Amino acid sequence: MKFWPISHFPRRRPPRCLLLLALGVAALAIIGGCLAARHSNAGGSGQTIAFIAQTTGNELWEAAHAGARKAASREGFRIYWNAPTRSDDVERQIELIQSSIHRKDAGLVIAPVQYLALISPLREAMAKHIPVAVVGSSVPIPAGNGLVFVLNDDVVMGRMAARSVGALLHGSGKIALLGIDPNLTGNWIRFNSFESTLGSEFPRISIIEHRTSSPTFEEAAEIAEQILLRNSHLDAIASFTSTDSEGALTALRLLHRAGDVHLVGCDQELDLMEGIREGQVDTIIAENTYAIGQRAAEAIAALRHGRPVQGTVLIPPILITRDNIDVRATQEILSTDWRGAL
Amino acid sequence: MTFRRFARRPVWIALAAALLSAAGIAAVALWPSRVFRLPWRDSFAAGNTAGWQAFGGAWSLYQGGVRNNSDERGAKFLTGSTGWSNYAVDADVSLLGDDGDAGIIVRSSDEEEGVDSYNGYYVGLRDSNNSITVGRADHGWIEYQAVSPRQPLQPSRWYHLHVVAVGCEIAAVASGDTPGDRTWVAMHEPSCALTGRIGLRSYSSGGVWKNIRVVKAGTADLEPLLAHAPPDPLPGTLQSENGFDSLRLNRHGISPALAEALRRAAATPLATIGDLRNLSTAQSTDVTIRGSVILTAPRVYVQDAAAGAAVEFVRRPSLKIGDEVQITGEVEPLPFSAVLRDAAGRVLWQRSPAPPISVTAAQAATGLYDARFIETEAEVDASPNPSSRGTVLLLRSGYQRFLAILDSGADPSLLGQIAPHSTVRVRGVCVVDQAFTGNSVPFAILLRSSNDVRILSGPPWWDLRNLIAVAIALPIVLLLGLFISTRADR
Repeated sequence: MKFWPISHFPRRRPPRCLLLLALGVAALAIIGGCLAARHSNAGGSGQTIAFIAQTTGNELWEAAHAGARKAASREGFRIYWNAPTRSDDVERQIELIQSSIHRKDAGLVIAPVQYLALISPLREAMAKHIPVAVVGSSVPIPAGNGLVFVLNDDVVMGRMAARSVGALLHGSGKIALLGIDPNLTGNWIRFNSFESTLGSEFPRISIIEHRTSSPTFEEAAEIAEQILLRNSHLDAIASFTSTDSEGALTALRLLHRAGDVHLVGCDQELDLMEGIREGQVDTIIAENTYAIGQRAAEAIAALRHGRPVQGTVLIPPILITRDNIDVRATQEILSTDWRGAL
Repeated sequence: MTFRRFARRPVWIALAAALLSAAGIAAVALWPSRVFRLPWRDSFAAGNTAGWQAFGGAWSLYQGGVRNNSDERGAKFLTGSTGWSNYAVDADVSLLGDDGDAGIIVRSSDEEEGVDSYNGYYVGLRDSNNSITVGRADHGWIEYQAVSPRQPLQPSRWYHLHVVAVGCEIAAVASGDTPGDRTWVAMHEPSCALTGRIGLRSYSSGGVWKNIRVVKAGTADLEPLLAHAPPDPLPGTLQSENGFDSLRLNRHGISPALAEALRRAAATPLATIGDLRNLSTAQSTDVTIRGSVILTAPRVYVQDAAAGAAVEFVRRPSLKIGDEVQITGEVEPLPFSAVLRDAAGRVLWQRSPAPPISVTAAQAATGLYDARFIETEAEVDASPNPSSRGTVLLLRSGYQRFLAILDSGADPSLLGQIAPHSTVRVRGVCVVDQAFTGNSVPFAILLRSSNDVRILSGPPWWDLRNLIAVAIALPIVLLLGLFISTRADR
């Protein structure tokens, strides 16, 4: 077999044809890229921060969506927003993290639904140099190496809830605790903080029931109903999740004891705000998820741009009562208008 | 230039071939759904769901329509062309539950599994606050209008939805079966989604849809609807706390159905499903259990946090996957689970279906997960086969073989697309009952719909057929190359 000598190439003039071919291929690549981008929530991925909430379609996380969108657009990023349809679906959350890694997103904001199960997928994201901001509840990975925590200050939240109960009962009475979830560190911290504050500052208040969190407000209502039927002299209910607070409110209304038994809850839910306005819920200690979303997106942008970031940021919660429900800061964290944030 | 002269230039041939390929690829990419021409109508009555794509839910054919038998929030079923722009959709819609919504999506694109994970518009019948609603979804939800109909919305009744999308206006009218029961809604979005396909969607309630038609529409179709619809509020108004409060419409406090369910739930002593296996087989025992529905056909299965059981009703209530039920029946303990016979029960409340437990085939083969909702990965051993039990798919994982069975009421067309040796993830109810396994395999998985089988990867390329093809093609290509090289030398 013979080989063409190099000197023959200029005579055959292939570069022009090859140039055309290359242009054709490049055009195809551009068309393909545009088509792919047109059909994607994430857009181009390199400028996209994936925000995977515990679930969507509720006020707690839509406010975080709004905050994240605002910060991301200021920094030149887009937000990809999705979550499982149930707030206990770990598998789906892992699937969404894997999709984000596959897309090579600019960053990942995650509100874990479980303490342990996300360790491997999050470590994989970090190993692939995708900055990660954990919000809502912690995971057992130390901050650093592209991982930051933007968390609700659950110690303060538990303390505020205990002091609210103490003030409402004037320092003595019987209470029941609902919505304890050892699977979520944030929830566990706020429960421990509540108990220690109550024990040290209000020793004459006794806790007569401890109940774990319920997946639905109907089940929470059933538990609260049983507690109320069994304890006719109950003075207050303190709840550590919005689902359990909503269940407690339903049971109180059903047994016509709303207003007689005090209700103090952690985390916001718009149905509970109606209870506050009607005097059936005394206090809600709300997570400032708007600020959490905003700070998380800012942290990802900072990591992307090589700016220094704080390993753990704690966002103080907000106490909502009938007196301050209409003030602007309260209404801002209760808004689900994620699109109006820009 | 003659063809012979042209053919002497291999570079031009290569270029022409590349351009032809490019044109082909562009045609496929730009017009992926040319088969969807307007006017268009569904083929559910003919037993066909080809061209529909599910994102969550449990969709199956049902009495000439399609039914989502799941309480999942935001389950979607989509079809049509992403190039459709100005059109009108007509459909008959029925809600299955009393605390959710069901309706029609228009101009949809970029869909994923998730509550509001699509880019488009939604018009729904919502019985949780008795309203006809219209709004914008863009991987989040902005409600534009919620209007209360004259007659309260009720589950299991038919409503006709007529939705028109022209330019940046979306308008709709919902009609009940009583004269004058018509409710109009409309919205305008300045920078809107101008094209997209249609979809069926439900939130918590499940639903049934039939007689779906799509036709081209213009401003003449839109104007009568806009004339009746209330004025547009400012976007985002209903997203505030006060706006949410206004959405309660005529539904305040606790619904009587929930109050009744809570009363019943509190009054009855319950057994856990896991305890049923330990009851005596010598004497009949009646018990009451609580659980969530994980399958409705071919048999009803319920599970609680620790175990599952089959239920045979005397008179079966209308059930959906995810419903929390309280059931009283006679227990028949079995080696790995239990059956409740002559059962009677009621739905307490609706809830989003629980996620499956991930297990390996080896674990499922022990019987420990009998009557429970599981998920496992496997390789397809053989193409799906129709049988008296439904469509049966033989799967293999490690040393274990098992069956995935789709009930005969469901459309099996999606299963037909799965090639042997593909790797799939299967979700469904694990059963060891020999009525399903025929004792040929240790267990079977009863699928809720054909979407419960997800292809993770296709069959490996290096199968016997392709190896033979390569063995034949390779010498031909080499000879051809040698021929061209020799010609070029001359």
